[in-house]
Amino acid sequence: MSTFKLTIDGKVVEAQPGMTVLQAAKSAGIFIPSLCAHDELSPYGACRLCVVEIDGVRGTPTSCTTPAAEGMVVRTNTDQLQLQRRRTIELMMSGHPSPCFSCDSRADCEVEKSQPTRAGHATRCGTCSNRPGCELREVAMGNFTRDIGLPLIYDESKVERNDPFIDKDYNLCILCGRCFRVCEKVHGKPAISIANRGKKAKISSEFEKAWSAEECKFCGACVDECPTGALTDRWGKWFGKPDKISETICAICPKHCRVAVKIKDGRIVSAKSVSLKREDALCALGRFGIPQIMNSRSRLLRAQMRKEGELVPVSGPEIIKRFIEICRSAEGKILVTEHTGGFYESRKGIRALADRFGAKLVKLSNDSDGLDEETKREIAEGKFEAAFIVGSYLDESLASKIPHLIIADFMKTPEQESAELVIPFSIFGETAGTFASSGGEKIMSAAAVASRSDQRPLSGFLSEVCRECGVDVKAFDFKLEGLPAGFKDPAEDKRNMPERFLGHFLADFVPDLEMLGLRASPHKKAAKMADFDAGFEILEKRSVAPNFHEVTVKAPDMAKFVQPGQFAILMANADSERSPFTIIDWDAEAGWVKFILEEVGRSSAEIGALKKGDRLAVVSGPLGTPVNLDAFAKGSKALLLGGCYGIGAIYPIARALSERGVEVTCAIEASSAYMLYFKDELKSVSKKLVVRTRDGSEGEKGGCRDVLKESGKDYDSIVAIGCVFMMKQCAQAAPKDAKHALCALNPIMVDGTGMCGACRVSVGGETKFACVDGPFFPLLDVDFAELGKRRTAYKLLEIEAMPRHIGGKCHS
Amino acid sequence: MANGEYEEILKAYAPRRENLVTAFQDIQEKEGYISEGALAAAAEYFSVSKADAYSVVSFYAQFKFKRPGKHTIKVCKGTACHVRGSGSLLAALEERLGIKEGETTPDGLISLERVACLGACALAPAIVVDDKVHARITLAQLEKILKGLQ
Repeated sequence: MSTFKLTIDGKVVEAQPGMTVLQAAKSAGIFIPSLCAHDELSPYGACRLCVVEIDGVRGTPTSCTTPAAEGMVVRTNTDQLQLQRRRTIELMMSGHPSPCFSCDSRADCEVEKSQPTRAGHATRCGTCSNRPGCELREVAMGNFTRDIGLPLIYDESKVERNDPFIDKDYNLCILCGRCFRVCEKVHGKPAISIANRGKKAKISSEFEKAWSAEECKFCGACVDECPTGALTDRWGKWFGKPDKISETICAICPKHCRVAVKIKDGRIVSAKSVSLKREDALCALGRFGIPQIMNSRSRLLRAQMRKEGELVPVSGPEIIKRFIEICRSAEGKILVTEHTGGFYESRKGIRALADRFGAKLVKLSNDSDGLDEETKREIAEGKFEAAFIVGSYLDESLASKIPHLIIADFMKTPEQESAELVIPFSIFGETAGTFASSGGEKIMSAAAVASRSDQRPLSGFLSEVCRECGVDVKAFDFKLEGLPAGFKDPAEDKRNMPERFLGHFLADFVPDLEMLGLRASPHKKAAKMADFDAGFEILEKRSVAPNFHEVTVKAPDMAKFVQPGQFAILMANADSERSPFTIIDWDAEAGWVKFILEEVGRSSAEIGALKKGDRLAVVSGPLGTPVNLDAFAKGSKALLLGGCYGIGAIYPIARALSERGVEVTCAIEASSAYMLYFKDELKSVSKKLVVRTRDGSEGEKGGCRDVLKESGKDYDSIVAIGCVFMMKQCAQAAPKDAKHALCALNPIMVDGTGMCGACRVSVGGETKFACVDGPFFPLLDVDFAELGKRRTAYKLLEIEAMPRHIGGKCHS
Repeated sequence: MANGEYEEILKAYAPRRENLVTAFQDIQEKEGYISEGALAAAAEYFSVSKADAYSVVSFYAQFKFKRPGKHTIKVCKGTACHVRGSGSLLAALEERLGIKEGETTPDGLISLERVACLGACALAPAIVVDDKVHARITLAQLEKILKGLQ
């Protein structure tokens, strides 16, 4: 069919038959903002941003649903349309937690906090995992004023974590319908849709059941297409925009799907299907499992050899030498396993090796339960002098029956303790190699990332061994198998997913798989069952604002000694990270201490997941030098400034000062009204409470900085507590001649007693330890730039440590 | 209801998406609500996903997803009934039955509903018990009506 012409914004443009007005404009380089439109999905017209005026057409039709036609005259950018779009954005933003959008300090703040805070709830852009790639934000910021004329409604509905892999935060959803349209596109019939209507409308499966209960296959396409962060990949969401996307092959099952992997800092952090075509759809293992498997903490990294009874790391050549020695000495009495799910090149090497040394060759598929009974019996009878096992197919008792055991694997296992040689190898995605297509043709799989540490391709190791032994690997070419008879596609039905890979239970590395009925290995189960029952009981726990918890802990010894301004180190579990939290109240007689806790990452989320009656493994304190109350004269005026956790932290100081006859004014700031807390508590211990919000939803628009600017010189003393950015702003706004201005610093801390030096800060050119010298320091002398930098030192590790499950529970 | 019974109802319709609503109305007429089984049967018959079918029925307030009680009391909250005190009728019923509007007593005997307007403003405050309209109801009469329900 021939093209036709229409006029858009006075420009004559050519369009293809079947194009919508939006597509015609786009192809002519004319930009029309849109959110719900997607070239591969059915037109929907939900977001109403792409409205246009068309001569002869009444009203303002959406260009994404209007077919382009010969001779049409379209206008995309009139004042009327811009006004309409701005109103639409305002309506969307009023139902989407967007205070950062209208904050005057947004740009500076986002330079300071280059990574969003990893909190439980996305209460604003600053705590939203989707910030780096948010389309709503992009459209809103690119085209519209930042002033939102409507009140912000944040109903704080819980983030739903009742399903594996996907976090659902309906506070962020704008009902653009991309998720169920992409589901429909990929699977024919969508497993999700919009349930209910009006304010109660939400993306849901039938009867609002868990998605895992029904038709959803966890292909993840909905997560990939969500423009707002309402649907996110629980594991991969904090890594931000990938550096690049590469294509490789998933070898977990024999289907060998093509998969696009997202790479950040040389690691595979996420995966998605290569297209939205049905035949390219991935199963949950391909979409969500791969990055968790690749980055598992159980990955085997070091080549090891037994020396004087101990497994010690050794170099490559040493391993090869010993490998050949063992094979030669045990010739004819060797067991070798071939993993049929492995690379063609490795399998050839294994066959060559088995042939050269007269070994018994056992073929094992990726999800075999283990060795066959006969081979097990032979091992038990001591028939084998040596064995070369690829993967985890031996239990510990069998492993101990083989005098010279060589294990090659990509994960650590208990049976490796009995091995003489342990050889780590890289798997698909990390190694280039050949697999079989479903028809048995050879397909090449590229290495998307480099292998880590001592890991290397198994095929490379084997061909070196063969070369040393004078074996020609080429002679062991064989015909690859296609899909096994009766193969059931995991992408078609989640119940078809294999439970194992190279003998390992996949749920050991991807815990969410257990929610889909896949088993973990018995030894992992046992580790999980061992629960912690010592420690400090949580007497009360309440949420004071989204992501903020007030936690009361039974700690009688500590309660006797606390003074205002001190903190304690808390650990949820015995193996948790040590993190400092501010003490906001205590009762020596009743024996309790109260903390304010903001969820910002793994450790705080772990504590955030605990409930009344649960126990904290460690509560150590009181730590830090208390605030020097004598420095505040009776009758003098003090201004206490609090933001985030600082709102809670200034409470005990305000109370102590008021009791001493100091005239206390408290000023608190939050991004929006729904993030404020402790207003009544602070009012009860101060003369005056000033409230500021960054979006102007309560009190005047602005922050503590503005309070200081306006009235800082009216006070004899100033104390600022909050995030580094807020305190930095306060330092800039405080009167330069302020004689008594303090801040409480919050660097990364380990022991909290002045030993480790992690909490080093520069104050007035001197190095101080925040834990013992602080936390209080002169506000005007602190090097906040250095503090900000030091706080991000473990950025990537912090993301990797983000919890998926905490003690068997999903967090928050 | 058994699967066969749903099919009996469904086959009156051509298996096209636009017939979903009327088919569900028929099912609700028979069974009193839309059960999971009914939804699954209809989704299959009309070749839509269950989520899609649920999206359609949950849009309309008229469809119920829980089995209603043996008797249904509808309290009119239209303007006329409201000014004539239907608010206290509803409150009294909620207290007496121990349920909120929209719920069913645990023994499955009575469901309590609130309707926007019965169109019987001259009879305000009005309630409907199992399709029978009761006019100008007082608390004392309410007690009598409740006693009569078994």
